[in-house]
Amino acid sequence: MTSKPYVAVAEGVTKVFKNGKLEVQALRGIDLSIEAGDFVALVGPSGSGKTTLLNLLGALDQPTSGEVELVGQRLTKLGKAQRAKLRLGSLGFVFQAYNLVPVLTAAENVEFVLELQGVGKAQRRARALEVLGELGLAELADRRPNELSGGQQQRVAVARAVASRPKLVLADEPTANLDTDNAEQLMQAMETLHDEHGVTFVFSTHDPRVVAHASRVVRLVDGKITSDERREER
Amino acid sequence: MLGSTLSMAWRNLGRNRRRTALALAAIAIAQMSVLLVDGLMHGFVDSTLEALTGPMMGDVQVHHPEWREERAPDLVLEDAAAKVEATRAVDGVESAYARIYAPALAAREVDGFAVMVVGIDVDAERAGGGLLQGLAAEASPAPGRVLVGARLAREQGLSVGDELAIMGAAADGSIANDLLTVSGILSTPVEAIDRRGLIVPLESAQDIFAMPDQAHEITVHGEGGPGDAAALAGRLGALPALDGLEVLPWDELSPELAQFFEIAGAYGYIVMLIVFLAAAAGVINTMLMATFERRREIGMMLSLGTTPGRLVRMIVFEAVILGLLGVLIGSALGALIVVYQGQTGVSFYDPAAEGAAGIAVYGVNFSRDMYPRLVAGDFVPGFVGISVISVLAALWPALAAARLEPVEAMRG
Repeated sequence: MTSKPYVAVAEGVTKVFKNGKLEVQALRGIDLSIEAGDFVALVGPSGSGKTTLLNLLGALDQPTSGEVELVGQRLTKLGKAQRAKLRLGSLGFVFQAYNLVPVLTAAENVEFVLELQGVGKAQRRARALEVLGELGLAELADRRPNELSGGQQQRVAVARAVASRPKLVLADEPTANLDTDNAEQLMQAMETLHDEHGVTFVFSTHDPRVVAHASRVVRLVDGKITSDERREER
Repeated sequence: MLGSTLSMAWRNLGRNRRRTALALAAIAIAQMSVLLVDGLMHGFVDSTLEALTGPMMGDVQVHHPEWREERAPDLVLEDAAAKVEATRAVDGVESAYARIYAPALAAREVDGFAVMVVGIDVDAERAGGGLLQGLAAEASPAPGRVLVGARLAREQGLSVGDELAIMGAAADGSIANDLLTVSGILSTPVEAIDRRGLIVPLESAQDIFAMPDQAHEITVHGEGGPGDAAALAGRLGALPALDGLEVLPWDELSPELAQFFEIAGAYGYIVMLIVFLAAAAGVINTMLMATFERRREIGMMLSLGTTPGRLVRMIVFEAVILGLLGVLIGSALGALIVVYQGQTGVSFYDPAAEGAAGIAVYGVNFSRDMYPRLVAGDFVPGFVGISVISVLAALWPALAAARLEPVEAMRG
């Protein structure tokens, strides 16, 4: 078996949040490597450090100590603008809430990142409709977020995240605000994108039904990885 | 990308329609107020200038160099008819006529009273723009017949047909006197004529005051109106026939009036400043609230890789669109109102009031309506001012938003 390239590597990562004199140790020495094609669930109770780790892997934040390497670039050596450029070029994001720009239609939201990348109008429109079609949202392309259900909004967010063919998609509790059916639909959509297009996903959750979709499960407790399990069958 | 940034900015304005409508209303009312004040100012200046330069002063006057200072009867213009003809031939001159001003004592019975005998070219001053504009031919002064200012007639109990004896100093140093019959009462916005004026034909005045082919003044109306008076005075000053004489435009003849207009203009600027400050408060409030409310969304956009520059542009565009839209609405409303007022006129005074003399400013009674109007330049301060204010009002929240760390912003 040949080893796949790493898209994200965390080595000895710690993160301390300061609130006045109070210090909160969110991550305590994380070592984690994400391979291309991984479909990883970060699992753990609230406050275990899942979101903090995702933010670091997404170049949205800097570690207090340790190193994070994304697609071959060390985060500590990058400034704010360079991190923004890295995110735009290599990463896709799905957030728990406030995912879409309310004044843009579903298609325009998907096009948003492509436009930031400088993709031409016709090309990005075609790509947006293609991805929305793959996720069963073709007919909703011209609707604004307030005309979509929560599940549809999250699928549009997934479409946006993958439209630019990023090296890694990070999803922070993407199903947290969805009912069971919508959560299942969303996970199946992500799974399809992973299986058919090899998109690398890392998502956080504490829902066992969502975890069941992952091919790799990383458990976090109190800012430490307590297990990192690969599964052959989902 | 600029197009989509503009499009997003435009759509963002529709997110809180009530707040946007309030901000638009504040800006529109500001611009409308400025235009209404400008329109009134123009109307006021027009009516004042028309009253002053129209019947009495003209746009330019020609005098003996010392006459305005001393008002002595012998400080005359020689060969008045030839000088008037030469003046009328100058490019841009609409009309020109000679006048004589002679202080005198008048008496109907026993008691005398001070008057100003004004000798005028009756035909020329009835033709247009002069003291007798619109006066019926039968009421016009003629040899031995005199027009009396309305207020003078009222105060002295004079009526048509009365006889007046006048006595004054002639230009040659002799005593001038004559017996004149009142042919009509003249209502004029010119206070000096209204209160003290006796109007006689120029030739009669020349006879009475021993001024053969002489006059004290040539009054000139230009085709370009008061606005072109300085240039016209320059051309007239170069005329050989007027060599050595004082040729002055209205604003130098009445500098206090010119200064009054400047003060009125400054008042307009103060009004503009106040209403624009109110508009600025509206824009600042709207943009601060809008940016604050969208903090998480801004965080999400920054997370995706939106550059701070694009974010700043979007917020600034939003403010500028808001500002310009408000100014457009205010301009349309203001222009409509001013055009309407320009057609109906705005009255300064209660015409039913006793005497109905109106407001006297610098010797001119405003006993007529004024007609507000706008010029293209009146719209410019609003567009420029509001655009600048909008950019400045949006920059602070925009830069603050652009400086946010994505994670920090998304926490709310």
